[in-house]
Amino acid sequence: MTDAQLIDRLAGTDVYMADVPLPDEIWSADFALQEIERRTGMQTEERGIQELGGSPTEPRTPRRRWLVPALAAGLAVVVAVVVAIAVLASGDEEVPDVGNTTVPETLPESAVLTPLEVGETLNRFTREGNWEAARELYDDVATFKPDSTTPVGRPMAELAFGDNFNYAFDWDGDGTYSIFDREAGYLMNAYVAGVTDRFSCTQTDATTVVCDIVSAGDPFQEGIAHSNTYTVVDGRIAELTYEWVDDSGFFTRDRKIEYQDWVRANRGELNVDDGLFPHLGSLLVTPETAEVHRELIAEWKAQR
Amino acid sequence: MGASPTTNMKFRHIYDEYFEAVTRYCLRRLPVADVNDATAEVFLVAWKKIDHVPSGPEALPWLYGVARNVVRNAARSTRRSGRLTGRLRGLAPPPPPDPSAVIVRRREDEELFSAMAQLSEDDQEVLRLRAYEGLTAPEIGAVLDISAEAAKKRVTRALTRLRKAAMPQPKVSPHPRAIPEGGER
Repeated sequence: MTDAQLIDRLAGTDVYMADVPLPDEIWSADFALQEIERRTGMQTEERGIQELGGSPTEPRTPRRRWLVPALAAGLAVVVAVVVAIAVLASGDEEVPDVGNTTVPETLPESAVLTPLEVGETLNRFTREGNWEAARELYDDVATFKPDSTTPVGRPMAELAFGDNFNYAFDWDGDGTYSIFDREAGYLMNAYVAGVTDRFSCTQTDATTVVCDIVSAGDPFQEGIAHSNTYTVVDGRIAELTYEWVDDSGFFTRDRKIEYQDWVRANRGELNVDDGLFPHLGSLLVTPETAEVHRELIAEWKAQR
Repeated sequence: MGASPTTNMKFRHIYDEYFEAVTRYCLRRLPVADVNDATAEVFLVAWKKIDHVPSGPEALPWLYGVARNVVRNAARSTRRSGRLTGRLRGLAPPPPPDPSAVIVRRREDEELFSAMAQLSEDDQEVLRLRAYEGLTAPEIGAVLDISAEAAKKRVTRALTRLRKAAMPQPKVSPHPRAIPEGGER
């Protein structure tokens, strides 16, 4: 058999040769294009690129590609923004607590997230475990100011970055451990714990939103009083101040040990000491382990 | 990266022309469930690097080169999550996708497919590019980022190994013994 004959025979084994219909699960070209456009924010029709908060021809940086779905998904509170702007414009110093209002289905294409919207969007991304989308909410040079004024805040301030090996993971893979990696770690820890609402946010002025960390549904964090204050510039987090309000429930390690013991007792086949729990009372949450922890924690919670 | 009408037109042309080919490339190498994301990722890269995408028919090998990396990443990710999920459920990791399950229709195809599976991943890939994607040696070279001559040699060597692997092996006694010069009496 010649080489050409062998290649022909091999070609004949191709189950996806050109005249074979594609499986039903495969997107059509049009649908796939919409999905690509959604992911990048690009528009490949004649209408051109509409950049969020930028000029129509301004290129989109890769990290902002999730911002459009974030907006479109609708955690924005247009009515609240209008009220806030109106109050500011009228010269009032106080901005009312805008609270939760109806989520609009769409936003103007030029909209930039308000501080409140940033907080609410972070809350939603936490619920969904979508740390990649959350990355778009942080400015590349965002700064972190841990609380150093309270007795419980001081040790936290000293620990600052890398404050807990649970969270010391380079989520965005840029080779550095930054404020975002720290935040992504907390976000994903709350997600795997099955949090239903991590934040309760209130916008306090035109650039600031205070998000009390309520951790509803999170067996490790619920009941611990602390808060994040985000300074938002141009729709992105420029600064985070972290405050411990009190030390009740500070030592969540006991709850993690309880969970770890449960896994060991009920899921002995798992390599619990390496892959999921690098240390006693410490959860290793990474993109690879997150779903495993989430399933296990849900089961553990149901049996507690 | 600019987003001029020319850029948009170039992207749309590439997309319309090669979407199906890239989808089939991914289908041949990944579980169906992963194909949509992989194909979208290939064209996301094409969009971001639109200025680097060759014009004309050379665009397809370029896209296959991107797809090759996307598929490798997806396969690695699938293997990792499969191992963890397998341990979680107390089950063995799911086996890698086995296209032969649907491809094999004839005994000779089955033998050929078994022979393919014995080859290295590199050999399998050049043969798939040649037989399934129907690429020439220069095009395979563009996908693999090697010269046309090197690609041609790789295809030839892979075919030789495939032919050898597909040939039935002669039965050999498990305990060979010396035969006296002049033959056994």
